[in-house]
Amino acid sequence: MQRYVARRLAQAILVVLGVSLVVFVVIRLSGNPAYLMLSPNATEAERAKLVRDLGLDRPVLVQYATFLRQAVAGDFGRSLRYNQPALPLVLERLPATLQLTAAALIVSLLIAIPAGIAAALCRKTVFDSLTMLAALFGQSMPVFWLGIMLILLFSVRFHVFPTSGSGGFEHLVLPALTLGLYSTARVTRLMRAGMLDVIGQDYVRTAWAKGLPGRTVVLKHALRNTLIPVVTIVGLELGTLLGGAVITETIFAWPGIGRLAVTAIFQRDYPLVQAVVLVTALVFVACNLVVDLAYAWLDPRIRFD
Amino acid sequence: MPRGILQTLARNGGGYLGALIVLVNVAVAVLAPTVAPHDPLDQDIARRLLPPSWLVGGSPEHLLGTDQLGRDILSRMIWGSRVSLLIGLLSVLISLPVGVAAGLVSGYFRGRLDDFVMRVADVQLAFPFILLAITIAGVLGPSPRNIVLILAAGGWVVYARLTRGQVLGLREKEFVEAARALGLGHVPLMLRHILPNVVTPIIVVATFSVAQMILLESSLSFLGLGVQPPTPSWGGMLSDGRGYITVAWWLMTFPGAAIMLTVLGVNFVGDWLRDLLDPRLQSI
Repeated sequence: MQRYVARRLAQAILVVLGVSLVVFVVIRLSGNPAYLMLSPNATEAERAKLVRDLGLDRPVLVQYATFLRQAVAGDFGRSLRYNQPALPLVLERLPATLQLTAAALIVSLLIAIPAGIAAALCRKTVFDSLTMLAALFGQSMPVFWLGIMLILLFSVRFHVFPTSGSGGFEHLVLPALTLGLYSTARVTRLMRAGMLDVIGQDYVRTAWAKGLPGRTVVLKHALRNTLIPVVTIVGLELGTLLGGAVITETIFAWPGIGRLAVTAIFQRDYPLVQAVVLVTALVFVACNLVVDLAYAWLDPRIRFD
Repeated sequence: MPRGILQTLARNGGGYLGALIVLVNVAVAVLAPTVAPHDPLDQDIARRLLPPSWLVGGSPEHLLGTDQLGRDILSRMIWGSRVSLLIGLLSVLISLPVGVAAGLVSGYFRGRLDDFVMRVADVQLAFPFILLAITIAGVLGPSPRNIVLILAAGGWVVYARLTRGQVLGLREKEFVEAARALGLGHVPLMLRHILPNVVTPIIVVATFSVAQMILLESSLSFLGLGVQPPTPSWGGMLSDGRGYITVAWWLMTFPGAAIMLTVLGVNFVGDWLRDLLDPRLQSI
């Protein structure tokens, strides 16, 4: 187990480093940040001084090393727009995104787990086909359109929920539903496949052969073992949900880091963009690590892979 | 064989429907200048925000109504299908050969190169791609060419991993060993003996990937980081209509439905191809 944890930790660090390198390079492609920070009528001498102060005249690799050293110390640079350190700005918005993502995950699992299990148990029936058809529809729907259709129905037409913003529970319903339904389709398909896999195992066949009642076989023998696919799915869905949150937050004016990233990109506030991307990477990698370790704990076969 | 294909198509209702949707879509996109009832850029402020023709206040000239500048929604959707299909197809056509080549080489030679390629793939899969995509689109500036390149940069991983997995199994097979014993070089061996055996699953994955790319392009255009106005695109139309959500539901309902229908059609075709070409691939 220790070796497994060490290996997964090394992988996680590699991912964060990889993402940081890509973002660093991409943002340097945008041109010299010093020009964005100065007024257009600054003199050439002022520019040269700022470039030197920011270390922009040094080799890119040296700049990257400096950037990494500062990032490890919690310094992600200053937001050009807010003229404040970028990290606190991101951390301030993080809880809203986590709240939305968690609510969406709950919506998704509440619908998808029963639906996927039922579809697998009723394999090759009309119910199964209809569930899979609904899932295919769900997978083909752009998440922003789903959100807009929900706004049209529940806010514009029936005035049940507010169109956007944040505050009470009623503000969370539509965004969570949008993001949740968006992932429900995928989770249902994965859940069905996972359950089919378990049903096909020898011990389930043995349970049937022993003449156990169907309820016992399903609840005691099959269902308990679907816990492992559920954990895998949660891990896989986190990326989808965090990605979907960027768009969902934009539609509903939800004050999370996704919306912060989109506005920062339009304002060319690259240090802030960089901070959002890195914080997302950290959150995501940390979640995945926890999921993977839970997985190894639940299924000892994984550890010795 | 062609008869066999048609028979499975007839048995597979979804595949039939999907193929129909895709064919109609392609035809409409190709024939956009002739089938569109109006110029998609033609503004007419006097006739702005007209509802669809079957509603009170609608005009028979504008079947699906007009937008905030009085442009015909149906015509813009017809022209918009060009953008969606072209970007979806091009990004797959670029990422597929790159990914397949990377997978072939890393699976065939193994070693350091393989480690490197797979670590890069891991990093890319371990992060929500849309966040990187909007960052790159924001920095490089949103143009159709950049969008295609960004989507292609995100798409190659799937092919690389799939191809590599298949190659790892194939390189130990006897026919590959026999060809090697006969003195065939690495490159001809890969191209003539290994590649033909991985084509089938790649075709299936590529089909689903077109659907995925169309969705991603529409998301980028919706955020304002994709195809820029006034060029009509489905995602862009949804974005333009957002300010009028309380007064003109048709601005966003129809283009979104077009995206969903197209993606659904492509997914149906993908499902059908998977069943037809390789029933073992149920998990993809």
